[in-house]
Amino acid sequence: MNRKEKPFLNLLGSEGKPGIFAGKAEIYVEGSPAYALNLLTCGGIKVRDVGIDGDKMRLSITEAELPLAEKILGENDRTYRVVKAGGIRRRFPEFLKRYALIAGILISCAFTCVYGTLVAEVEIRGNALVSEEVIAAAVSEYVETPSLFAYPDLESIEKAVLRCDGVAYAKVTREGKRIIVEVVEELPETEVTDTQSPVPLLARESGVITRIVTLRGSAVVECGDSVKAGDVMIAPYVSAGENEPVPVRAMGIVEAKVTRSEQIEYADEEAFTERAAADIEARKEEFCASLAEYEIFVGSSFNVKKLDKSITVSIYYEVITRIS
Amino acid sequence: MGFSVAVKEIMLDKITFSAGEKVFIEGHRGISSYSPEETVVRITGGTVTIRGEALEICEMNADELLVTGRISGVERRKKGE
Repeated sequence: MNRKEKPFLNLLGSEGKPGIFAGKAEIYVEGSPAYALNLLTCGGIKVRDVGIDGDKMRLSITEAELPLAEKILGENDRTYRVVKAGGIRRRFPEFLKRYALIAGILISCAFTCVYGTLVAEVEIRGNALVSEEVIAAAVSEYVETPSLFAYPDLESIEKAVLRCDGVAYAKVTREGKRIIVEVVEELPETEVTDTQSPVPLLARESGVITRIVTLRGSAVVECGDSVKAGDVMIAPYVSAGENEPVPVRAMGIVEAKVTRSEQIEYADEEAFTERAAADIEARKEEFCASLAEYEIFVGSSFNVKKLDKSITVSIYYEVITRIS
Repeated sequence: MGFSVAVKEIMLDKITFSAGEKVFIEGHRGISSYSPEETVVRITGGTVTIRGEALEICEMNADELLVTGRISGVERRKKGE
């Protein structure tokens, strides 16, 4: 018999189980165990895990050697039964034991990768005048929330946000599952008043001045003066001692007693003839109520004119109102 | 371990055992008998009897043999003894 030089530890260490995909066949052999073992090993087959199971001998060989083993056992009238060890039923517990941790890690990695693609919310910062709804609508053109596997084009979102009215600058970043939109708003336009051009303050209506407050310029009228519409009430300059007057845009508050009149025609004679006096009183109260815009209700007079089919009421009243 | 015979080298064969759990035989000539309690292995010029409990032939080919189990004794007999 040829002696093969084989490292001792190779065989001692080979009792470890083969990998799950290594072909392995299990055989049950009846009859004399020693005879069957000698047959197989003399035929060049390496047997493993030989044990006695009841009245049968159990042994393992590689699936590659199975045809040869079957041939040897068959030629020598051995009764045997082959149990395939590669079935999922046998391998599954081993698979679970060995690969559950790896599978767990892989599943965790996969979950982390999928979670990284989630866009759960859009956060808008820096807006005070532009509403969040407007900006959110611009963002939603490119990404809906929540959504998985979302890779929105941040540059396009920036451009969409910039198109919103009142947005001067926009920066869009992604932090985890959030899209952060930072905006800088346009400043509201401020009204620039020309205070240098010499413009006088004129009366809008005719009346008798009851109060005048000069904010800028020089007053040319005083309380008790009568003015007509278009008269200058505050001149457009300011005197500073002996120096030349400085031109300014005149500004101030001028109130005056103004007389106004109104005619009201009631068309239904029958309905209003008898009640004319009462209607006039009602109208007076109505005027009083509707004159809330005026500061003081000074007085009124009524002139009732009866026509064929209607009554015309002329009302005269005085109010103190602002004419500047 | 109370081995009845401590066999180290028998002619061309080599027998190694460790910790009462394994016996490794190189250059065997086949198995005479096998059971979980006693395994008799033919070697050149005699036999080696391994006794114990739950004996299993872990690996075996035409030249080498590894027996594992709770080994209580290994006995070598020369032909004619």
